Order: sequence, then structure tokens, then C-alpha cells
Amino acid sequence: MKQEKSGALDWFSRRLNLTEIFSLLTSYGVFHAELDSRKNIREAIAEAKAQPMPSYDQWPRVLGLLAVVLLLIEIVTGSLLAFYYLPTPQTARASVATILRDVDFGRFVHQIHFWGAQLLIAVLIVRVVRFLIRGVYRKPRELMWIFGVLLLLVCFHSDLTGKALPMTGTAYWSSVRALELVGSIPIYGSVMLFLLGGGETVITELTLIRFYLLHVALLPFAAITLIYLHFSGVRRLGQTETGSHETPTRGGPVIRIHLLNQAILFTILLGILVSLAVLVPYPLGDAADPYLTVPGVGPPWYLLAPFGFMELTAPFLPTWIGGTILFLTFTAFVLLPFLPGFSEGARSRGLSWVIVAALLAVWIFLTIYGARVA
Amino acid sequence: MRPPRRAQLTDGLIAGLIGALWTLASVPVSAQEMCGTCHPENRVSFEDSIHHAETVTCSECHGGNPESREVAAAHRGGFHSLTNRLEVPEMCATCHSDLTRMRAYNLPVDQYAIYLTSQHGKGLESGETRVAICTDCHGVHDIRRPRDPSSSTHPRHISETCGRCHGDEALMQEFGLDPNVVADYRSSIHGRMLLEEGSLAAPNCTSCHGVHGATPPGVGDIDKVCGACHEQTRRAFLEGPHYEGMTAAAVSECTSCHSNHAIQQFGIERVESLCAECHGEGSDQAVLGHKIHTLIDSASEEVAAAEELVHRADQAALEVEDPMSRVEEAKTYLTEALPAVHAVSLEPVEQLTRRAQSIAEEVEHELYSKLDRRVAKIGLVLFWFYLLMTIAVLVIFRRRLRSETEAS
Amino acid sequence: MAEESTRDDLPELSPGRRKFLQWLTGGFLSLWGVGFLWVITSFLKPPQSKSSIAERVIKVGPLDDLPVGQARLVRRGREPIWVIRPDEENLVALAGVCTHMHCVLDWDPKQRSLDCPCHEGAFDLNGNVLKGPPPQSLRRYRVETRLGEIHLHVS
Repeated sequence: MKQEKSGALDWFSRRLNLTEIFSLLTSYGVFHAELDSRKNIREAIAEAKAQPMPSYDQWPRVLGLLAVVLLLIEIVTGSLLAFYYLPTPQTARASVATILRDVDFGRFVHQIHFWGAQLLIAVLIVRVVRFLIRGVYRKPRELMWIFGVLLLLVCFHSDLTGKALPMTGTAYWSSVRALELVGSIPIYGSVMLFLLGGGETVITELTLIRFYLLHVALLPFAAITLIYLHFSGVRRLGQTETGSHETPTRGGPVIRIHLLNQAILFTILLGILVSLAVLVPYPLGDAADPYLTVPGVGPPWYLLAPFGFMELTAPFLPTWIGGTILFLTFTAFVLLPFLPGFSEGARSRGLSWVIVAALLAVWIFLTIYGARVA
Repeated sequence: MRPPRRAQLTDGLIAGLIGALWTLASVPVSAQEMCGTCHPENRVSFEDSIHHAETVTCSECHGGNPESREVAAAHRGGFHSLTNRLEVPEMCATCHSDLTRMRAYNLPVDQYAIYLTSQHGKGLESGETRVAICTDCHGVHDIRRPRDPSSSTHPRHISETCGRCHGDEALMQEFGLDPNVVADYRSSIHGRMLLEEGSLAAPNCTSCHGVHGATPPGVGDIDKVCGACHEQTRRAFLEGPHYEGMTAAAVSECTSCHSNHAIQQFGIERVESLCAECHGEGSDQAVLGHKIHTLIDSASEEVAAAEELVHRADQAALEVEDPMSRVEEAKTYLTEALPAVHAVSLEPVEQLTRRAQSIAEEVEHELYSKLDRRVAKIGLVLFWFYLLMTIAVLVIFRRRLRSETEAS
Repeated sequence: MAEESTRDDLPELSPGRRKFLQWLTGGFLSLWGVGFLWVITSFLKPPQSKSSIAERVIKVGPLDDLPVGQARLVRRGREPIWVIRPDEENLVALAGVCTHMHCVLDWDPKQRSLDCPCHEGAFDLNGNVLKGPPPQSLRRYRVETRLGEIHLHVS
């Protein structure tokens, strides 16, 4: 029996570079070691098994893997929803209602998709904060930082485009608000608006299909690519932060423990997700009416901070200056490793707690302010 | 060369054509007459009127010699200035009571006779000139059809037109009339429906008081006037004990409770205190009113709750078409219950409200069980049970592996 | 199993029990897989819903069941619809809700009119207001007979 199985593996191995495929698949948070794709698959696996593995005793290290698992859940549930969703303004809400009402497990899949997205964004935000604290932007990890932040940005856009798809009153007006915010940011805003519907800030048939395409094809592809790039950084540079921190490993082949840990993590995550989906359902809402503004609809929660900033500065700053400040702030944030004084430094620590706390405080203040204005 | 005969014919035709054109052109001139030369503002205002459109001329009312431009000559020969108000209705009646003339317009010919029976007409007969005559409501020269929206007799303008006199405090005081009736009407449910919502189905002054025979309806007739629209209500009222009692005691029927001009939408909560106002606190009737109020109130609350629940279910994308239509049915029963109150009897109201309430309760029960999603919650408990078992097995397995790894 | 997981330095397991533990873990995990597959396949099974997103057609029943001069109230959401058979050939479908206060209308076979129980409004077979307070006429629906069955088109 064992002979036969290995025979099949060898049969494929002679025809395909299985090691490369294995390397690609495991690079999403399963193995953090580099594999030599010229070696035979058995050899490569044996080598990987022999590598000392981080044991995930330190909880923040699971964030990357959580993001991968959540992205996978989003892709699976999203593909399922796409079987029934019809992307035109007339049919969108009706088709989502069909999913919720008539399809078996339709409501469940829809809710998992929604809550998965919220958890994914929350995990990525926590992860970026962790990067700041642990200094995962210092040389040589500049690219890991950039990919991590861009991944967060891509997920923002995924959620934004996804929220608009059911074309309900709330979705419609939330998207309009978000588009207004995006439109106030100079270069980026005009590019985005142009891509999203020829400079319009209202949702038309054309806009909806663009949202749809972004949501189901372009943004997921970008997210997968960014995660892959990020984890290749981990493979090349190792998982721990800059140098001095001791590598938490245990002797011997701990790969099976590592995999079990991942299985436990996945199970717990599934429990949280399913509970949220069942106990806190996200309502569908009434059909959108472009002539009836739904009261109390603001941008999504993670965009409340820039929204709050724009509202706060509106009385004394023209919109485009506020937008420029936002744009420069965000660009600076992405290019943090290349700002003078940030990349260098021998210490493994990142920004001090005080600075991170101050940044967070500003962010939370603006979020609360934005929520109150909206 | 053309034959002379033919040339003659052509000449004759041309001459005839010119003559015909001259005649045609001169008809309006002679009909329009020369009055406008000295009375331009009257002519302008007359040209807007339906009379002008139907080619009535100045002289048909005013007489005189319209073709003359001489002041004296023009006003000679049976000229009526019609400045004496006493003469006006009679003058209008010369045409408007003429059956042969009015038949083509399908207009009634009895307005003058009816007018003479009205309070206005009776006043005029007795020589009172301040009462309303035809021109006060219809206009003098610029008379328009009632269906013309700019007409002073269009339903939307009636209250304004009547109010010119009936809102005049000094004038009404002399006749001992209430000058607030128009303002009251405008604030009423009827007035707001007509003037604010633009519903021409809502009554104006003439709907209750009559048009030309304007007279306030007396006791015993009020229920007929109101019942013209509120048929169900009237039927219930006639069935009940109030009709006979109130007419016998010369208490006006509908208006005693609803008032006359300032009628407002009658909240059912008024029934709570209304019965006691006449019958006294603690009387059997007051208790009945209390019961009726409770019935309708609780049924409407139930129906409102059901409707709210249907909305919630719709938001949650549940199937709501059937519940929606049943809620509509319940609302129909509730609407029917309001006229039924006028029979002042528990039974008809109870029947209707009970139906409405039971439908609403049924809908609520059904939707609650759908919205509650008990199945999903039980499923969640089972799910967690299995999930925890899985975690337990995984943890055990991991411990085993770990101890083996450390041992090796 | 409970006594096994008490301490970290566990005693050596017999091969049989070790196998059992492995089997148990695999079993639990594969049941998850079965669950996922079940959810996915039942999701992908097209719903057998009576309502499609496109134009809807309601089957009212056989034409023979509706005698001449009679009417039937068809329920569809907020709108009850009267399907009336005024004579041998024709069918009429009218909204069943009064345009005045939204009371549900009754069919009066004698007067051949739809009467409102609330304010004595009445409509004729074309949906026009015959009397009473209703401000608008009733909406008409397309209705036809296919293979002896009445089909009501509502869109």
C-alpha cells in the first residue's frame, strides 16, 4: 500500500516539479523555511520536517496565518455566493434575497462571508500595529512592511466594494459616502473614481459591475499575491524580528505539532466565525432608492478615522488640502521604512509604546469623532 | 385671351370673397362693440371669461347701443348699468333660467329658483343688499367655469370666496354670524385635505351647505349631509340609540361630538372621555365607551406591532408576502371598526376588532418563530459541542506528540 | 482519554492505543470535511422557489372552477388581486385594494362591481371609480387562460 502511494508520488514527480508546487502552497504560513526546488519532493519534505519550527508559543505570530485562513474562507464563501448573485442594480438585491431566503445554508454562507471580512480587516490592523511595535519595517524587512500595509489597503477596498454589491439602501449610501471620501483625496481619488465609474460619485450599472469585478477578481488576486510576497520575505529572512531576539524553537521534528496547532487555531476561528454569523446577523435592508437618503449611514468603521479627519478640518481647510494631508500621511505610512531615521537602528524594538499609543489614540479619536458625525 | 364671362366670374368671386371676409371681420367688431373704447379694463376682464368665449356680448346684459362711440348715444335705449345689486340675479336668470339657451351647455336652469330659497336669496328679497348675489361668488365680468382651476368657484377657491364675506368680522357681527367658520374649516381635516393635499374628493363649503341654495343644514338633516360621504358611519349611527334620542332632544347629530367646521381627525382615544361628557362619569355608557376604546386600541396596537414585525422580517429577507397581505386584511377590519363605533354597541366593534387582532397575533406568532431562528441556535450549540470535542482530541494528540518529541 | 492528558510526561502508549488516538483525530477532522462538503453541495443545489426574479405568473386555477359572474381573490404580497369572470370569454384582473384607505374590496355579483367595505367606494369592471371617496381607479393586471388554467401576470 505504502509502495503504491509512493509510486504515484514518484510518477508525478518525474513529470512535474512537485517541490515547487509544494513550496508555493506551504509558503502561505505552513512552512517558514526556504525549499530548494531542484531537490526531489521527498528530500525537500524531509528537509523541511527537520527544520526547527517556531512553535507559535507567542500568540501574535498567528496573525499572519489567521489572515491566510480568513482569506481562504472569504474566497470559498465568495465563490459560493457568486453562483447566485446577479450584478445589476435591478436584480442585485433580489438575488441576494434569494440567497438568504431560498438557498439552503444561503444565509449562513452570506453571514460567514460578511463576518470573515470584518475579522480579516481587524486581524490585519492588529498585525500592522504589531509590526510597528516589533519594528518589522527596519532593514532588511522594509518590503514585508510595505506588503503588509498594502494588504490591509486591498482588504479595505474588498470590503468597500463588497458592501455595495447587494444594492440595499444602506449599502448604496455607504458606498456613496465612501466614494465622496475617496474623491476628496487628490491623485489617488481621481484615479479611483475614474476606474470606478468615470468620475461619478453615484452608483450606476457601470459602477456596480466595476465594483463587482474588483471585488471578485482583481482585489482577491492582489491579496493573494501580496500575502505570497510577504511570506517569501519571511522565508528569506526568518520569522523572528531583527537579529537579537532569540529564535523560539524546539528540538526535533516539531512539524506535526506545528500543523496540529494550526488545526486547533483553525477550529477556534471557525467557532468564533460561525457564532458571530448565527448570533449577530448582518441585515439585508431595504432596496436602495437613489432619491431617499437613508439616515445614519456613514462610511464603514475602518474608514471613520479619515472621514472624521475630513469633517474635523472641513470648517477651516478646503477639501483638497485635507485630502492632500490624508494622502501624504498614508503615503508616508506605507513608505515608513524609507523615511529618514526609521530604517536604521540596531535595536529589535520598533517604535516606542508611547508613540504607538499616541498614533492609536489619534486614530481612535478620529474614528469616534467620525462615527459621531456620521 | 380669356372669355369675358370668365373674367366677370373671377371678379365676382373676388368681390364676394372680400365681402365675406369683411362680414366675418366685422361680426366680432359689432359683437365686441365699442364699449371697450371707454371701458378698457372691463373689456380686458371680460375677455377672460367663459361668456366671452361663448360669444355673449356686453349688450346682452347691459343693453344700450353698443355700436355707437358717442357716450350719450351708446348709453341710450334700455341701458342697464346693473349697479343696483337687487337687479343682478334676475338679470343673470334671463339667460340662466332659459331652458332652450342652457340646454346646449347642459347647465341646470333652476339656480335662480334655488337661490331665492337660500339665506342669501331671502335676504335679497327683503331688500338687504349686502347678501351674496351671483357676481359676489362668480365674478362680475371675468366669470369662469367652476372646473377652471383659476375660477373663484373652483373647489379649491370656494372657502376663500365664501370667506370674503363670512370671514369679515364686522359684517358677520351685524348678521349675528360666526366670522371664524372659514378659518375653522381651513384648519379642519376636510380643509387640509382639500387645500394642502389637493384632494378634490374632500368637501368644501358648498358640499354641506348647498351651492346656490346656501343654507345651514338643520338638526335631523345633519346626519344626511355628513352621511352623503360617511355612509357606513351614518348607517351605524341610525342603528344605534343616539339618533332618535338626539333628534328628539333637538341636539344636532354629528356636530355635537365632531363640531361643525373645525372637524379634526377623531382619535379613538377621545371615546374614552366623550361618553362621560353627556352621560356622566361612572355611568354604564361611560363604561361602554371605555370598553370600545380598549377594544380598538388594543387591536390597533397589535396590528401595528404585526406590521413592524413584517418590516423586520423583510429586512431579514424572510418571505413576507403572505403576512403582508394578512396585515392589510387586519387593517381593513380596523378601518371598518371606526364607523361601527357609531352604533354605540359593543358587538359590531368587538367582532371587527377581534378579527383584526387575531389576524395580527397569528402573523406575529408566525414571524416571531421565523425570526427567532431557534433551529439555527440549537444548531450552533451542537456545532460548539462538536467543535470543543475536536479541540479536545487535537490537544490530547498534541500533548502526546510533544511528549514523544521531547523524549526522543 | 481523560487520564492520558493529565501530565506532560506521559507514559509510553501501546501501539494499539496510539493508533486509536491517530484514528480518532483523523476521524474528527474528516467529519469536518464531510460537513463542509454537505454545506457546499446543499448551497449549490438550485432553490425550488415559486418566485423567480423575473416576471411572475400566478396560477389561479382551472377556468372551469370560476363560474361566469363570479370572482376569486388571489393573494400576492401586499396586493390582493381580484380575478373576475364577467362573461363566458373574458377575464378581468384588478387590484383588490381600495385606492382610498387601502381596504380590501369585496366582489358584488349583483351590481357587478367591487365594493369597499370601509367607505362605500365602488369600482366597475374596468377599475373606474363608480362612487365614493376613492381618488384613483384600480390597477389592472394581465390575465389569460392557458390550457384551461387561469394565469395571472404580476410584475
